[in-house]
Amino acid sequence: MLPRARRRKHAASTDIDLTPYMNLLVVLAPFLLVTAVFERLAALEIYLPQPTAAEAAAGAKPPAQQEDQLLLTISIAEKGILVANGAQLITLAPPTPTGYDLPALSLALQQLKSRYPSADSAVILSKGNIAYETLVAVMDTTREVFLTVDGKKKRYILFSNISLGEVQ
Amino acid sequence: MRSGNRLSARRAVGSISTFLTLTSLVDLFTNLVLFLLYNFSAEGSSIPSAERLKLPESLAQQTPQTTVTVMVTQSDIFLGGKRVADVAAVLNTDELLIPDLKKELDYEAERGKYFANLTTAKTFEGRITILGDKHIPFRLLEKVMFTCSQAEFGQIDLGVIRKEVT
Repeated sequence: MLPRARRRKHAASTDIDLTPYMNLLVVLAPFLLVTAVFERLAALEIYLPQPTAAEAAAGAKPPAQQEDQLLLTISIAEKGILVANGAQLITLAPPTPTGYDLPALSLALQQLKSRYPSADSAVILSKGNIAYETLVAVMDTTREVFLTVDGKKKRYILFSNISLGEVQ
Repeated sequence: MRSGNRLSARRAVGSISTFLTLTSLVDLFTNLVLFLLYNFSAEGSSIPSAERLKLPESLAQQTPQTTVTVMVTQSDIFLGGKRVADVAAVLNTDELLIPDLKKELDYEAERGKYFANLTTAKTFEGRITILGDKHIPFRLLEKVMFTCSQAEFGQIDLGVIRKEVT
């Protein structure tokens, strides 16, 4: 008789007791904050220029270049970034005071992509002393471009099949 | 002035029977916890935060796979947490192959193949991830990549920090 009367009186004035829930949250929030990873690792896939058995047998002959085929070669050197189709030089982007002129490279590659829409492979040749960071930046520029279309950023793939090599 | 008076009067009356209102704090915590749980990943902590290993940033979207990992800092080369070679010594030679790294990688390849033979679900792909400091010269990276490909690790991924488009 007495407990029931007390309970009813209580229920009229109290909220839900949030204390256990608060305990849980106070413990969980710092734990997750500590373990949270704000830097996400990503992977850049590269293709090693591996000579196949047939190619090796044929000797070090350069592949026969067809009329409308692109053999895109991007060389990173001190005097700038050279874009070439086989042996034919297309663009030379000289370095700016702040580093390599990546926007110019991107522009040249976009023009090439529009001329050869089906081409998707590129060879990036670098000097031995080029920093890894520079190489990754050039690879990014070669791989894709972000253009603003109708006020929206859109991603366009340029040459996604990248091989690396060294130039003397 | 008048409203202030009224407020303080109300508080005085209310404080007789109410608790501290925790609702907004609970809302805040709930949102924070949900956000952190959403971002929580069990494998995300695999980024080594070594002092001498600053990965370059890239726009690459591809998520890395758990593979054999070669770490190349400015002073040492590690394979799966074990120091295998010295960068200065590697850069001093004209040889493309790094013998110490090759030896360890051969062992890794052998082990990978052995485990691949035990199960049918997995095959040995020869996939390897190179985590390189952003200041290492290309010559060093090339040597590491060459050694990897010589040791049957032909599928090379470069580990980078994901950068958002600005």
